[in-house]
Amino acid sequence: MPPRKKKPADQAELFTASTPKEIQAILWKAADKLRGSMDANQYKEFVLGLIFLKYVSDAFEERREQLAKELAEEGIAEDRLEEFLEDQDEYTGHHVFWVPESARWSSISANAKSGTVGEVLDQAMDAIMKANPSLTGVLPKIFNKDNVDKKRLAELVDLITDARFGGSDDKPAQDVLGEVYEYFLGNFARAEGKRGGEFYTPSSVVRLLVEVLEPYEGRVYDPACGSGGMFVQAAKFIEAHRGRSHKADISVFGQELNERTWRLAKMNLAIHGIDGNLAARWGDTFADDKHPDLKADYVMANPPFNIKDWARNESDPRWKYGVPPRGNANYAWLQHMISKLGERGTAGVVLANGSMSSQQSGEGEIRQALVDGDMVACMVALPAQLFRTTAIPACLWFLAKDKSPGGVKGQKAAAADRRGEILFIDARDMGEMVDRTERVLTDADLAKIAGTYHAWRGTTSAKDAGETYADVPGFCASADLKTVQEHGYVLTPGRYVGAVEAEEEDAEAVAEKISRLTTELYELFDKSDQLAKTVREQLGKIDD
Amino acid sequence: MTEMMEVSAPSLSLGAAVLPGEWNWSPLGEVTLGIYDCPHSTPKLTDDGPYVVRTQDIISGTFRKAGAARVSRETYLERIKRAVPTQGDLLYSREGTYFGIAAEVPEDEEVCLGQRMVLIRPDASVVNYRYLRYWLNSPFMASHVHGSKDGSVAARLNVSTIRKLPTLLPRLVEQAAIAETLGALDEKIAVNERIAVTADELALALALDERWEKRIRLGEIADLSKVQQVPQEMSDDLVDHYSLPAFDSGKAPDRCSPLSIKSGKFVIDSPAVLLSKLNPEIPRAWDVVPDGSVPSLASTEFLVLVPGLGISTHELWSVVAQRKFLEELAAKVTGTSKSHQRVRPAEVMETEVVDPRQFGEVGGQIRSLAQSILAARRESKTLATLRDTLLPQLMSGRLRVKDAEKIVEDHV
Repeated sequence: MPPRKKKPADQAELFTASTPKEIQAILWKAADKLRGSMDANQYKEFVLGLIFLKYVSDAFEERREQLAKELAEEGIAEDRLEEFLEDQDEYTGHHVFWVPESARWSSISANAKSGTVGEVLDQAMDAIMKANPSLTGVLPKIFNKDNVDKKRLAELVDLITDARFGGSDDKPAQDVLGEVYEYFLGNFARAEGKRGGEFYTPSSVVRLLVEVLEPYEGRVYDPACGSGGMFVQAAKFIEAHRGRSHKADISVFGQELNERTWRLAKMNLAIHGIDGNLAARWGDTFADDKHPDLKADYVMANPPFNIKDWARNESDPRWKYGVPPRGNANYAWLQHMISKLGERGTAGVVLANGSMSSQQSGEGEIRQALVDGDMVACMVALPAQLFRTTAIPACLWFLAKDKSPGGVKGQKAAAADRRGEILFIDARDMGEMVDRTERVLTDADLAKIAGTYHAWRGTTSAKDAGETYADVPGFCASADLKTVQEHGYVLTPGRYVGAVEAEEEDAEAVAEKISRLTTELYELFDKSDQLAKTVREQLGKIDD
Repeated sequence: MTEMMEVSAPSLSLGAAVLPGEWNWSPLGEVTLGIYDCPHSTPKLTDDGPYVVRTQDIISGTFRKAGAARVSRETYLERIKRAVPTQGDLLYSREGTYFGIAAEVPEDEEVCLGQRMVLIRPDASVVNYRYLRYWLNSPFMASHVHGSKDGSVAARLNVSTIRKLPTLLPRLVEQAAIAETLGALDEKIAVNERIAVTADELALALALDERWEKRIRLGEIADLSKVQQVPQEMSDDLVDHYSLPAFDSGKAPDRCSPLSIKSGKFVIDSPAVLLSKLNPEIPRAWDVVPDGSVPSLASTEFLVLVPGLGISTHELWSVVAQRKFLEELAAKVTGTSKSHQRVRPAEVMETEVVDPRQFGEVGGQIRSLAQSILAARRESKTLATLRDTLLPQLMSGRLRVKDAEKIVEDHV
């Protein structure tokens, strides 16, 4: 007796799933089965490409239905309806990508079982790129390859078809798919471990940057934008505070070094309905600055920590505070961002803890120049394990072009005069563990840190909340430049907020050192193995 | 290539080797595009900037960045006027305590010549620069160069002498093959040393003071071993000699005849940690596992520490090699002369260290790192012996590299 045909288990599960979270988890599990012989990078593009395709198609259908309704209301005759419905401008004018018939999900899903699904998907990607020049070179065409399991691909297409991504009244389809996209990005980052950190910053860290900087309007820039998480969070912030229609109050500028990550970012922005300028290509921020004339109001970034091999040009005009050492780009990132700040511009940067105290190769002098130049507004020491992808403890640098009462962008009322002062926040005890290895900052933590900053700076949001600033031993302290000088320009918050022993600071530096040395050692082992092989080959060639 | 000039090299002996037919002698000046002397001014050193290569930086035949001096960009530009050292050129010392040694210009660093150095720019159409480096550093050349000193005290080679240095050249393919074989060994040695240095640093970081609470007097976890032996009275052919100079020049013992060792030494008959009581501020803590095949002797400038029950020498080493511990010892030194200050053994044993018995899992990590350090250094020693054995054989044509020989045969 032939086996009874039954629906794949995932699909059955999907019908009982009720929350978006469950849907995401089921999809993730299903997609994971496709991994097979693909490498992590390809697989990531593969799955995210599919979700993106579903998104453009859904958004298109939504617009199409709406258009049909509008046209009917305008009294357009039924027989002429089709002509208007196929008018590209009606879509692109509403920030909806034009999706040619063959690329619509309905047509893909109809072909899912045909065995040519890979081909159909590649053609769909191609058709969408041709119809929408802003997506040129962005979408992956990797579905019709030998290493793709056609049967599982068809199952996944089915699953995506069935999943209820459809929007409801308060949540358009766009948001639901945006969340799915982010959920997948986060999961990929975890699955890739250390290397995942290259394209993904944990969302509680990004939210903290956004809550402190409050980018309501103006130019937002991220020189190491990864998959574009900073921009998505900034847009969400505006939506939450000002409403959906204000999303366009910011313009977004980014640059990303890695080609694949750059594509993920382009898709991520598109899926969240953000018009951003990520340049026509990926590129190295140090060697090939894609936004040379940009003056940004807000810079937010999580650049790669402690990178050794970077394009260093000693006479680069960006090194206003001193030439960064060859062996570490941390101070190159900081100075690059400062060079991009417009009048009253502010920046929030995630960096390795070492950056707060390093004295090697002139970094101490650069930090001194930054402090003496009154560029540093606030330093935040973060708890450990926020980044599942790296053991290196991290901190936040907030830089400000203008710390005077008139220096807060977009604010008419006078703020506090913080010239010659730096706010130190020690948040190392904050956050809660979500599982054995990962910690997140809670909403309350974010509110406390950002609230402290705003109270100190005297921004409107602090005034509205009726908060005033005071030092809290063990948590925050505002120090004048003289005090910072006395501490040898070391910016580790623990030194200023008190109540924390100096030994702990050193323990952090040790943790960082151990992690760095471990990585180095593993690389050397690999190299040693290779060389052992070469030695064998060479000695085998000697005639004796 | 035109016919090369026949070179007579009376002071250069290749032993009894009969050269393969297609090998040629040529004066160095004829197989190079230039030999450039250094500026004779003394360079002003700075903290940052391009490296200035001095004779002591290339003693090992490789430019060692550690300890190398730097100059300002202006000085650099001044010093590269005659020629810009680029990859493929050789740095060559022509005078000084150590001279007649060649090293490659590093690939990724700007360097200029220090005093008593020349830059050799090989003509790539006739000579492989790597081969040329091995040739210049070969024992044949060493005895030739040192034999051609004119008897005066200052040992030096002038540029015209360098131009005339006899250079033995196989066909280019064979030069490349020889350089590749010897190079593979050298690269493995280099990466082994980096493994040892990195693992060393990592193990010490794991045992670092800040990470551990409990302290204990050293005397409670280790004993001093004081068994002495007069090497001259030993009947063994070879011994491993753990001396301060051996520690300083690569942390590997000298294997030598006991007759060559003058005074009495400590006997190391089980794994031990050697700790220098001379100038303890210079960190010299040596994790030693004696090679059972020959006796091991240690200089009496060392204390021979034998770990107590339940502790390995590796863990013991990781706590006594800590900077903080050594600084405490340095504070307890006695002696008038700055260069010969010693700490009394009893004082050492009274000083507190991190108690390694609290290490738990970390103890295992430290042990495996220490073992990989020992293995890497031991392997390097073997590799270096192999290289030094092969080099004169390959360079005189007594041993040939198969592929190269085959290619050469096909073309003859």
